[in-house]
Amino acid sequence: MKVLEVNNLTKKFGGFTAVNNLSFDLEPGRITSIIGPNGAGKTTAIRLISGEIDPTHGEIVFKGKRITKSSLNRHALLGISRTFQVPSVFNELSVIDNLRTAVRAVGVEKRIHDDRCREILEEVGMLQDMHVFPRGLSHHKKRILEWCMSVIQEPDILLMDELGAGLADSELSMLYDLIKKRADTITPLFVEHRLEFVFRISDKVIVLNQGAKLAEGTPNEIKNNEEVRVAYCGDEYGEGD
Amino acid sequence: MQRSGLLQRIPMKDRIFAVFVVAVIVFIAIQAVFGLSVYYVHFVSNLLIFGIASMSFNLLYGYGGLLSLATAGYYMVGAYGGMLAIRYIGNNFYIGLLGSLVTTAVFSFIVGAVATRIRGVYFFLITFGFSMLPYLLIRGPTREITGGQTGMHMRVLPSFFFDLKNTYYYFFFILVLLIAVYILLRYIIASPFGRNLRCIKENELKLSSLGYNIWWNKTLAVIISGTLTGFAGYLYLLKNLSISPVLGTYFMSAKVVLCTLIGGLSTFVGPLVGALVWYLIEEFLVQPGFLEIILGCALVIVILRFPQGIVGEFLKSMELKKKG
Amino acid sequence: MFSAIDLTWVVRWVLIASSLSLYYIVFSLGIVLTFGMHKVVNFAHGAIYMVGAFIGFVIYNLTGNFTVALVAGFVGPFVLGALLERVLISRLYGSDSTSTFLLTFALSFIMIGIVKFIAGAKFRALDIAGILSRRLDIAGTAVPSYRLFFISFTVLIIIVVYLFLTKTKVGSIVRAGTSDSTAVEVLGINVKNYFTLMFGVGSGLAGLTGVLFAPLFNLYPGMGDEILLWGFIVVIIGGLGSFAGCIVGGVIIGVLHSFGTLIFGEYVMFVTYALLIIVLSVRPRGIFVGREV
Repeated sequence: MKVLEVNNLTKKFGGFTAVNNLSFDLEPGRITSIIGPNGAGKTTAIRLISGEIDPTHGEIVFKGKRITKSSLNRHALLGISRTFQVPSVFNELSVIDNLRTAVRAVGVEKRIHDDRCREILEEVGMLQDMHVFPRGLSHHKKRILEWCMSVIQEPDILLMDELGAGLADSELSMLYDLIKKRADTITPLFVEHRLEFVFRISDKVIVLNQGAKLAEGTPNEIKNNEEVRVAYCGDEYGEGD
Repeated sequence: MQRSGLLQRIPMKDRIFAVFVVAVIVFIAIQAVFGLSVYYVHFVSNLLIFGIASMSFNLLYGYGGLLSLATAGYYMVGAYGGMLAIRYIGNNFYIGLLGSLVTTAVFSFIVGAVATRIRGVYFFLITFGFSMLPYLLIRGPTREITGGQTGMHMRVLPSFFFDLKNTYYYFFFILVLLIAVYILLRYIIASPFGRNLRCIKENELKLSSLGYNIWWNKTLAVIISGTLTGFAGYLYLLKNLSISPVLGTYFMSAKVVLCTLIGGLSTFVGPLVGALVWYLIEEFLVQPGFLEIILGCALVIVILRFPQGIVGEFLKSMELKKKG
Repeated sequence: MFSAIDLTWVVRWVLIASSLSLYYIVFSLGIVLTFGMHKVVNFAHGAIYMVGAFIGFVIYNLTGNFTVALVAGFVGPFVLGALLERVLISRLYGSDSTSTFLLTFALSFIMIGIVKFIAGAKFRALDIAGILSRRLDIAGTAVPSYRLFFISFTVLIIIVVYLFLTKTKVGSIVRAGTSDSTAVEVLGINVKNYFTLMFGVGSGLAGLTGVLFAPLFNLYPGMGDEILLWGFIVVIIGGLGSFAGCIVGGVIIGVLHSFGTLIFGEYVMFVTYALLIIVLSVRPRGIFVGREV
């Protein structure tokens, strides 16, 4: 069963069409990536799926049910989680309080809050940073913390907007391993500029251009797609960013 | 000599609050001992009542990032709610208190529920608009019951475990309440709800994306802040015995914003310091306009150069000294 | 068809509604102009209006010439507004809008204090002599000639501002800058100066409104508070940054505060605030979203 179906999704801002008749779906356990030149509508697509904004036309079907009115927090409680282009963690709170805030939101029993938090911190090797404030963390660790905050809620899908921005290859790989490990329960959707990474890890690649789906297929199919190359202004596939 | 371990564990901002309280007590003690005019006890009592309203305001503004101009409205509703309950239900301190808190809670719920749906810039404007409604209501249509422009006067004070008319007792009572409200607010801000509120100020979108209902959290903050302000209004009523719609004009809302910004919006003691500055200047500079000019200039300087206010900047420099 | 009484009533109330609407419109145009590119919610607008009124008062009492008073009431606030913008307000461009708003609030506080200090907190009245103090008989009702002057002069102001914004080079730059500041900057135009200019003009409009108002009511340091509130409501209903919206909003509130009193009586203020709350809840960007002259 598809965990997410996007059908004819369209979003217009006044006269400008940011997302145009977009359709695709996500299957549990399979890694999907959305790529495309700047302004292609990738982030808008994420904002639509996560419930931040309402579509102008089209529908989003999550776990078989149509989710209509946009509501960021309700979508989150349903199981749609999201990371942002700039790693969003709360500078006001320590690392563990950040996690506690995340885990509290989804109604986990109070007794096991801290256990869950410690568990995941241990897994990513940040247990010693428990009481540190994000200001004292590297960009990489902030990104990991943000990812932890999503994952600790045990969502069904995780939308990641440019997860790799600002990360070294090894750092991104580390995160990818963590994501891959959970791919059966938390279906990932990457929105990325780092094409080499995308082609390496994805089962399915979707290319957006000017709001519409240009192509969809396996990494190899996309790599050899002439239209896609043209859309990227004839650049060779290198490290985007 | 080494400071005791307990003293060092108390955060600096709470120490400033303790100093404030001690200073107030000492001042009143001197006044009592030297037989100075009881006027100063009234002065300090008014300052403390206003202080409660200011601290409540800052829960919303400094910690929640919500600039509310409805303070005057809550204050007036609290005063009138208490007055009406005492006059028409029963001349009892607790009945008055209940009347005051319930009416203010309901009013602030309405304000919060509507105003928090608005994004950004207009929140303050809508709270202002709401704040005018009880003012107009009391001045106009409900004149019969509420006395309209002339206001209401309490002839007989409700009985309480001490004589409310005694200036000194009442001052001490207010001081204890100030301390209680301070502790309550500190406790609230450290609680999970308080953390939510601070996160809302920092990054509302993120907190929402974690599953939290932002609207409800903000509304709850408005209710808490508003009800505490209404409580201050009730204390004002019991002290001054007569109330009028003047209480609800936006001047008080502006006053509380000014004091909070000058004193510092990052703590609860900041607004108290700002209030102290206001009251002292108002007391000692009697020429018309001087209060506005000096405080206006102070606010300009704060906004442009010292955004954390007196207390905030002081705490910041303490932090830097510790590190450097 | 209409009895003489009906016509009188209509004429009288139309004139009242018109002057009130125009009063709000001219004042609010100033708010729109100072809002400009950097989205400044100018709380000092009311205080500047008051300052203009007092300047007009002083100049009129000195010279006995209302025209000079009007000019002074525009020029003084123009300079004041431009100065405040250049020296203080522009420092906060780029930071959040609450800061600029609070800064203008602080400035209004200072202005009120200065006027209180100089003029005292008492009320003052401006007695206009000569042609402007006559009473004319129109359709059976006594109309103060000042009201007619007020109406024609404010209409003139609005037309001048409209022409300025649409027909002059400066005006079109300002309009372009209001919708897209980067585009204008890229063209190499020094936007800063235009902005200061518009802030000055907006403030001048406030001051001018103040002088126009002075002969009608008492002057006192806090007189800008109420009109400022209505001004904000007008602009919000019409849409911040919109010239046309300003006119629509001004007419709505003007009509509400004149004819409205006949229908709602003392509830008219309630209705105004309720309208504000409703508009903010339903269409926070105002009626004229996105449309600008």
